[in-house]
Amino acid sequence: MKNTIKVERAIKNITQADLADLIGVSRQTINTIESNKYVPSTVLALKISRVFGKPVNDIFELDSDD
Amino acid sequence: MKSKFLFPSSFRPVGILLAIPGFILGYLSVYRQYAIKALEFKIYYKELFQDTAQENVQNFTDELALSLVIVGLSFIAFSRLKREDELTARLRLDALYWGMLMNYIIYFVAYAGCWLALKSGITNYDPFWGLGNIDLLIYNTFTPLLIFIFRFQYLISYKKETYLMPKLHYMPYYPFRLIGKWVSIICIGLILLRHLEVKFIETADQWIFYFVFLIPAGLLVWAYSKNADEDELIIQFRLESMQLAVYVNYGLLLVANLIIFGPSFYTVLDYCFISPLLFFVLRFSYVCNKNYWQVRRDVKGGLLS
Repeated sequence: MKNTIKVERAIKNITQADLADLIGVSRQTINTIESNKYVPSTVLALKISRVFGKPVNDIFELDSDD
Repeated sequence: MKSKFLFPSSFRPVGILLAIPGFILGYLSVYRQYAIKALEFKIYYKELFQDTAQENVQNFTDELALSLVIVGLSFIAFSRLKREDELTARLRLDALYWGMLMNYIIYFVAYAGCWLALKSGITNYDPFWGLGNIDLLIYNTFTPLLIFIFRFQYLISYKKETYLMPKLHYMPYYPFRLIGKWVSIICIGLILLRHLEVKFIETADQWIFYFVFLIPAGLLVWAYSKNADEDELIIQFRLESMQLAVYVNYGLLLVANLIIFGPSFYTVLDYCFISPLLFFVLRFSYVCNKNYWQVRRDVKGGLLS
């Protein structure tokens, strides 16, 4: 699964640590998700999408090998 | 995935304070024959070479050491991180699953080494259960926790900015699940028959010890092979079951440590070598099958009827 969290963060001008604090996870967790190594749960994906005010589909996208 | 069944994060330093004196006391008690006089009690049980149970003096120094080590390591292993989230929970369970496998592999190699040494006459230690090499069985009471703690710390703190996410590998369903399942069931059945003192089995005592050795191997293959329908949910059942199995195993070991003495405790140590895997396959099979029947009932109730 691919995601555009890094881009969205840049638009909103917040750091990984800020995003982590907003949704109650660790900074390393945000980093691991951004680098596509970890697929977050639906709950976490919805929390991320709420922070950026966009639907989940705009932030997360299925990869060709999913 | 939410973190389930964890202690508060303040338990971690407490765990370190319990485990270190526990290890020191354990070393002194096992290798230096050190005993605290105040922990000596008269207890009614059957000692080695005694025909019936009678009043014996039992010193609780080694029991105290083992309890301190197990409680301490469990606190370190299963207390929350300062920022606990679904990924750390997942990493914890992955590390536990990996650690359990590594623990068994290390012991298989150690036992094989002992066996070869015995065969080539270097030592007269018999590596099979209840017949010596008690050191390995004693270490096995705490090494799964120790390996897990180091693995988990490595995964979360190897890199400062991110976590390591190694993939867990399982053996394919066919033929490993079938082999693992039937080898364990047949071997456990044979051992149970031997305990019930069935005549036919008694005559086969010589090779029954090889079957004892096959149980953990069979259970290990069972636990580390895929289900026919392996998916995200099954993986979650798998990881949770391993955590529960470790809890149940150490809970029972703590109780056994305090109520079973003398040579009977060596039998407990024997069982301790297979019990985490046994609890795991029982719990895992139970939740998977419960889920299977639930789905079938729902489909029937919702669509077919």
